[in-house]
Amino acid sequence: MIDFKSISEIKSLVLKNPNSILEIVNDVVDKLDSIGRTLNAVKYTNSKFSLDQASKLIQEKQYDLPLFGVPLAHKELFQRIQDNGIGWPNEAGSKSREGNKSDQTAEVISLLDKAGSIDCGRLVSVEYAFGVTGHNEYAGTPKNPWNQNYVCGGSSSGSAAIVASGIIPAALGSDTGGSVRLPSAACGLVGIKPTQGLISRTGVFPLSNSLDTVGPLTRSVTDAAKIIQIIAGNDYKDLSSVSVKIPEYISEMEKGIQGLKIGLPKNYFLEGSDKGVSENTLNAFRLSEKLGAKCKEINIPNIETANDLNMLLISTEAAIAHQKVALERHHDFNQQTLMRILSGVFTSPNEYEKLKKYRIHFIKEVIYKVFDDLDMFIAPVWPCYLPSIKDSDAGASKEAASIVKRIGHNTRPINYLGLPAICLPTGFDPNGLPMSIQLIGKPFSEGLLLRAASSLEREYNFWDNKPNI
Amino acid sequence: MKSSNLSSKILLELKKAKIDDEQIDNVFNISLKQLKTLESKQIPKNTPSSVQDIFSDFLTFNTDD
Repeated sequence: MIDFKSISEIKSLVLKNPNSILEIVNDVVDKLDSIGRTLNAVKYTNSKFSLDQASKLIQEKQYDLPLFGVPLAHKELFQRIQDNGIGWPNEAGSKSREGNKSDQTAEVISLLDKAGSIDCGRLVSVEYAFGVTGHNEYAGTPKNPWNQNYVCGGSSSGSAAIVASGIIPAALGSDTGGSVRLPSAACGLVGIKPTQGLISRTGVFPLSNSLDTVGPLTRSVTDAAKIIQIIAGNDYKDLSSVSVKIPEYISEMEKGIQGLKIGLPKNYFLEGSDKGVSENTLNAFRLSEKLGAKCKEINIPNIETANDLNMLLISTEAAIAHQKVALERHHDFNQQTLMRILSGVFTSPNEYEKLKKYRIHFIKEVIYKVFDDLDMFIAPVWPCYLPSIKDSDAGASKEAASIVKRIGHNTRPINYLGLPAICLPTGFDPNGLPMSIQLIGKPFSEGLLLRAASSLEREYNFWDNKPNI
Repeated sequence: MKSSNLSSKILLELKKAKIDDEQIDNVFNISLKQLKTLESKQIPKNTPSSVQDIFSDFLTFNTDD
């Protein structure tokens, strides 16, 4: 009924006949329970709740709501408690939290409710959102809709699989080291990692207090803009939240790429990526110039250690939040998650303070130097062609740490810098799996990123490609 | 395996929790390597106190520009 349709198309459809929302929601929940579960991507559905939400919306006749009647589903880290006090599962993809229920509704979920969307369920996350490939022994490893032998990337793997399958137009994910961008890139989607502080994390299961961000995964740049328009804004309950003026992203986007100043880092990103991936990024850089952007090569100072320090900060803060349960219920953890949480327990309080302080210094150094005469820079997302589920299942082996480090090579430094990024699909690799680039901007420049991404999207026209499920 | 007093205490906790020795070695070595990277970093005295402060200053700087 709404397969592969955009938010605008779904909204037009339901406005012609508001009662059709019920039929659409039924169809979406059916598909989540059939196709979605076959892909190991669905954690939870509740058709009664979704249909009640739809019925209420039809009765209230608020047709001007931006997401009127649009079905969505989100990563399982986003909590929801129903009006009758029943909480949705809050297991964060882990046996160690089996049976745990939500005790609140995440702020961003409330904002999407108020915008008229219908919440159709929760989608599988990597355990504690702590993984880049998407493997999950407990909840099941989501399969990539483009080729089910391949990973979806992590940790918002279920969100990526379901949006790429065309069942819903958008899903929320979280990004601490690449967890929106890696799955988006793996599944041919647009993904936004916002500026730290732009979007509330209240009611979202935490991994790293300093680094966690929330962002959408969608099939188009326009749909990504529509979702962040609704969820961006100050939240006093989230101490990382920043009060800034939120622009009209859609009208920003329509200004196009012409005149934007785009850089291509000569160091780190391309050097650390495979040849085919680097060429894909270089092609996007050249295309941007052809479309009227002012392009130049740049250097990003001292970026080489940002991946390591981001990993250390995640592990340290994950240990602060979760070491008690990790020690008490270590048999209920995947060995790789356990290893990564416990590697953070060795950071002393003084080292933790230094880690946070050095990050602040590093951000200051980089943003003033890099963005002095630049709007954004371009980089790959995955450093290699997408691996298969089997080939990337490193478990807790000694190689696991280097595999995990390598996959986040291009994404973790951006979390460390707190900067916004948008992931955009560009085509396919030799194995027929999607390839992508990311555009990284100065703080709170999501509007500029959407402008550039929208122009490039029109050229790549990836939207017309659909996986054969 | 060399370790500070704090690390020794934590290692004891991990062993008490009956976590596999090889696993403990593995996580300790990862942590040690990353902490060495941190150790080499210098922080100037005038570093702002939060990421939000830098972003606010940067936005002002960009607007003035």
